[in-house]
Amino acid sequence: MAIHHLREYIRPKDLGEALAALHRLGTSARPIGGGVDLVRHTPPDVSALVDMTTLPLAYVREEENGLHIGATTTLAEIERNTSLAEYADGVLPEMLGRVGSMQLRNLATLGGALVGAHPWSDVVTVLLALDATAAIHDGDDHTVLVADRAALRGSLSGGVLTEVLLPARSANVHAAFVKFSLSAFDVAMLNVCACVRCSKARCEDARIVLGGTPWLATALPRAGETLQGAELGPDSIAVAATTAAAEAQVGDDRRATAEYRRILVEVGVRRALVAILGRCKGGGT
Amino acid sequence: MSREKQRGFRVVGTNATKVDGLSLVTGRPKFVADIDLADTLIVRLLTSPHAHARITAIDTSGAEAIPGVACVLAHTNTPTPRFTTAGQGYPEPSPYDTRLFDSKVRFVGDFVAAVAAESQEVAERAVRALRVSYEQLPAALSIDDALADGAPVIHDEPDAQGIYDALHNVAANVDIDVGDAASAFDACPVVVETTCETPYAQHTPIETHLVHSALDSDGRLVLRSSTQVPFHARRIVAHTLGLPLHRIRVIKPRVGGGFGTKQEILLESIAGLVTLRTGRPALLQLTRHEEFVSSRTRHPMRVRVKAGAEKDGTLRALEMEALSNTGAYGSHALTVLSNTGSKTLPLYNKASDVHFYGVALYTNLPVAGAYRGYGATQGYFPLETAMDQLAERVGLDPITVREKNHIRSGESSPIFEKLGEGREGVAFSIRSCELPRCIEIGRQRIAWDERRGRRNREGSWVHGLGMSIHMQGSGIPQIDMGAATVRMNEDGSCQLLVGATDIGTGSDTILSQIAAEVLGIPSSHVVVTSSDTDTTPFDVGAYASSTTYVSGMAVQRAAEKVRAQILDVAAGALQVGREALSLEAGRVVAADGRSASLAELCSRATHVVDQFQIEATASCVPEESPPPFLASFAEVAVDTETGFVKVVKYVAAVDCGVPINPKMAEGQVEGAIVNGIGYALTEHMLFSSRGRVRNPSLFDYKIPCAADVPDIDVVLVDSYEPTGPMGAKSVGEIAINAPIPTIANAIYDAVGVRLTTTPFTPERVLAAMRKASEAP
Amino acid sequence: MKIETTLNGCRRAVDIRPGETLLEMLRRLGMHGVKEGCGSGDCGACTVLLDGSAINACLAFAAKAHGHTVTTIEGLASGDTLHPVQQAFLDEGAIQCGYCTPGMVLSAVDFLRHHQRPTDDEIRRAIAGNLCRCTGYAKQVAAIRRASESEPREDA
Repeated sequence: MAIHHLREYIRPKDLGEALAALHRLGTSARPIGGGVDLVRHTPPDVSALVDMTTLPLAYVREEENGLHIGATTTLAEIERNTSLAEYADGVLPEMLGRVGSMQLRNLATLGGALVGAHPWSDVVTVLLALDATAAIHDGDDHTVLVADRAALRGSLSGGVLTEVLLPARSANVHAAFVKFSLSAFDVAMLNVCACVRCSKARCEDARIVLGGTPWLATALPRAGETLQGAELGPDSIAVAATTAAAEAQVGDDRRATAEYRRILVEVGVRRALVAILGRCKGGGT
Repeated sequence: MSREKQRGFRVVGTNATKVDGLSLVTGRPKFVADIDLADTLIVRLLTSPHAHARITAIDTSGAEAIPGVACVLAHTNTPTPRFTTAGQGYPEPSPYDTRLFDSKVRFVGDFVAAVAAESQEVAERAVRALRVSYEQLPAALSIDDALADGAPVIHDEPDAQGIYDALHNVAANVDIDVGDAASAFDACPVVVETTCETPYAQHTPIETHLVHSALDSDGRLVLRSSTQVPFHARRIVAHTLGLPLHRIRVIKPRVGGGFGTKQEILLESIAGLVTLRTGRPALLQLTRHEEFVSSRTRHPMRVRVKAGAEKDGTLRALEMEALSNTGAYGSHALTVLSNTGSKTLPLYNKASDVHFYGVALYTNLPVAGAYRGYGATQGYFPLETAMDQLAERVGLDPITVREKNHIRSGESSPIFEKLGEGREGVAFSIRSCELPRCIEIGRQRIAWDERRGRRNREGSWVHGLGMSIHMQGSGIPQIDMGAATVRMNEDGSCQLLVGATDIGTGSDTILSQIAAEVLGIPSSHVVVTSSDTDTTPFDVGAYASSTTYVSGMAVQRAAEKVRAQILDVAAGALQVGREALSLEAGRVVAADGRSASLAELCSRATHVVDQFQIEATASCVPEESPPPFLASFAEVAVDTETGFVKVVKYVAAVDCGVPINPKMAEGQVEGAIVNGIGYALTEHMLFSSRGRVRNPSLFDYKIPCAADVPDIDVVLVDSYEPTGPMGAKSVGEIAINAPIPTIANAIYDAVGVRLTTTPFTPERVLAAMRKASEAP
Repeated sequence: MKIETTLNGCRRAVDIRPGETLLEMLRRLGMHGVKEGCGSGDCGACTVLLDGSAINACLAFAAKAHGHTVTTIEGLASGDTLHPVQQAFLDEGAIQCGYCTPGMVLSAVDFLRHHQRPTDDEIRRAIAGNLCRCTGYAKQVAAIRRASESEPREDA
């Protein structure tokens, strides 16, 4: 429904103009990608929107230092992208196939998903597991780890997200995503992303991330540590999954109780790691 | 289509394209809101934040002062007669317990006031400017609350009529006996019992309730409403607003889904009153939130079934006790309750002693009303669970125990007579029942014998098979009436005027097929006008699975009368006796081979000699309600680690008599089954401790999407109902009753747990499995 | 504010409010085939094509159409010739009340642009964002499958 208190819709010609508008209008202005979150709910103090999709920020570029995904790349474009289909076992398209609907993915952007940071967000869970970095422009260019939420929030209050950077591709990095939801077009009652660096099924480093707990994605460091230096197999996977279930902070909401979520944590982490085991053995050096 | 060809049908039994198909697939403006809204006032509602309260003061001055506000309605300035919102035959078997706006609110979401303004923005601002003071009252937020000693009296108004026992919040009560069930149980060697519970669920038609009202150039009130019951709407609006009925016209354009929630006169009087007070057109549409909370829902029920049998599985006694939550107002309370028993218990007529008892209780919760299945959905859950339990106890296959006990052609049940729609029913015998064939076909197609009991595994998923059988009804005997007018145009085409209400079900199409069949013309030569109280004859509307059987028979009769008139004209034109003439394929043919086309004859009757309008009207009040039958089979997979349930395969074999349009009949079954799957697995309205709906959105109330369900394998079994038009019965409701018990029985086959509360969420399934594995 | 957009092949200049959604704008312009079912992106009845991609018009600001192409159901047929998806819906009996139909058809049109021989599972996932309460999806999936098997044609 029309948001009546919105007075200005700005279509900046370049990043400088976008930034200037945001600085001029302060907290009464918001940058938007697809604008989906803002259409659904516009805070009463927001009277202006700055449409970032008019800027050339929709791209996927592989460079030496990693994969650069422009902030206004739509989720559908990411889902279809051939480079990303081969990055970390294609965990991004794997996840995006479970996100919302085709219509939502055609409109929603990576930047919008990261900044919107819905607690059930599957996107943030995967970005966290992949150790993504956010690039912010506030006159200068800065990068902030997606995992560093406080710093990210701080940077965004003075600048705009321009892209998300994923670490350089490596054949040793494997990932898998698991989502539990009540219907095929529903947000997660729990999502899990595991990302493991391993060679010949010996794990060098592991990151296990949960989201929709019902809170926003967080990593489970203790669970990840159980895999460090371990041979990835049914035993080490069982330990990691059990540790994750004990470590996880879960709660009740309309979709599930905390108790049930805790059960899903063990199952989800185990299934993600089993999938990774298959991918480790299947490919990798 | 060879069966229909055997019966000599040309048009009936074919998949004629829907008459409105082209306009719908090209997005033509056919729905209520598809008009230029310039000069139309937008109406928005203020609803109650409290579950139970008296309105002690209401100050509309702030709202009225806002520029652009045309009209504010509240209990202080609106008509006072009580009515029922239930669109049922007059006199309606539902209590007159509702006022347009009352001085008391009875659930969170109850209507408090309405504002009409130049724009939605102004109307919403004006609603926020209304100042209402409430004196909160204790609330009854469950069946148990309503039954408790000292429960708050929800309907304490002195002028309500038709409430069974208002002081105890009992809206309706039913108690019937056949024989002596109590003694019969005592004599039964095998007795099983189960209690099942189904929650609040909502129809979620993709188009919410809406109505457009305006005065025509003669000052008559014209209501364009998304309704299932245009004629009931006209009558009830007249009663509510104190207008003569003939000063109101109700038109139903295309409707974006009803499923029972639009068998309710919910918004028409409000919009109509705005138009009367302002002289302006007005549009009132519920938001999706309001559709969940303030329109109508399924009756939540707790239903206990007890079945007594011999050791060989032959039923002797059945008892059903239904506790129904009708919410804050009693529309459809009695009739849904009655149907819980009347559309279920006769299926097992071998049980000679039957007791059905039920109450419908008021609560301070959203209002339950008509919903496809209409009580049978809630009743089949425990009944078909009990039959599976009985089968297990006596060591028989679930199919066998049903085959031993279900009603067959030529048989009857005393319940038909004892239990009607809110009053005594009508005795009749089954003239068509292909349930045995339905069972046989379904059994094969689901691979029952090969796959049941195997618990085939795929990783953590275990498979199981379940089945259930069902009957419904076709219309309400001796109560429903539908009429049709067939009028020939001079080119041999015809106008078909029916009150019958196409809400997406395709009745316009199948009724045109029936007329075309009788007149020997293509169905594209039948021009259908429907559901306009000014121009079409009376019809009760789209409910009780009545349209094909009742309205269809009216069409058949009218067309037959017209055919006789055409033959008379032909007798004159061809100078032969009537008995030497037959009408086939658009021509009247004499025994000696001479013929005349319909166009020639109609032109002759219109322009040339002995001119008269070839036209006839006919009505139908059904004497019986021949049930359709359905055998439902499903294979599910249960994830033993998480409790998730997936329906892997679904087979429904249906006896609906002759399907007038097979693809459309299949569509009814497919849609109803998917709705039922949602009701079994994901759908429930959740409430706060203060009676507020916590999930009034499609975001939080999950209905199945295409990726949630498999293909539904529907088989329309060859059948013929002698009392039905062209041999048809009905098919609109029956299938929605099947998924809950079928899936429950399949889950039992897979993982050995019996679930008795829907929805079977993963959490509940897993908890049940864990509890079962802990049991000694 | 003023925007310029190409709507069903016609270039239009439209006055909009900054906070207006694409759904409101389109219905205001007489595109009644764009339906409102929920206003929150959960039902898909308002699906339209933005530069050929299916989106929920209720979730897009009207300003998003500026400089872009919008196709509604009204713009899908070529004169009297229906798009193969429309024809397939008619032929398969995939339309009951018709309220979800425009959105469902447009989702299918976008989907079939990218998928030549889809499996039923792929079809079902593609239309997961188009809720229907009437049909149970069975004949809609059959229609989309049928349309995928027919001649490819010039993009809408």
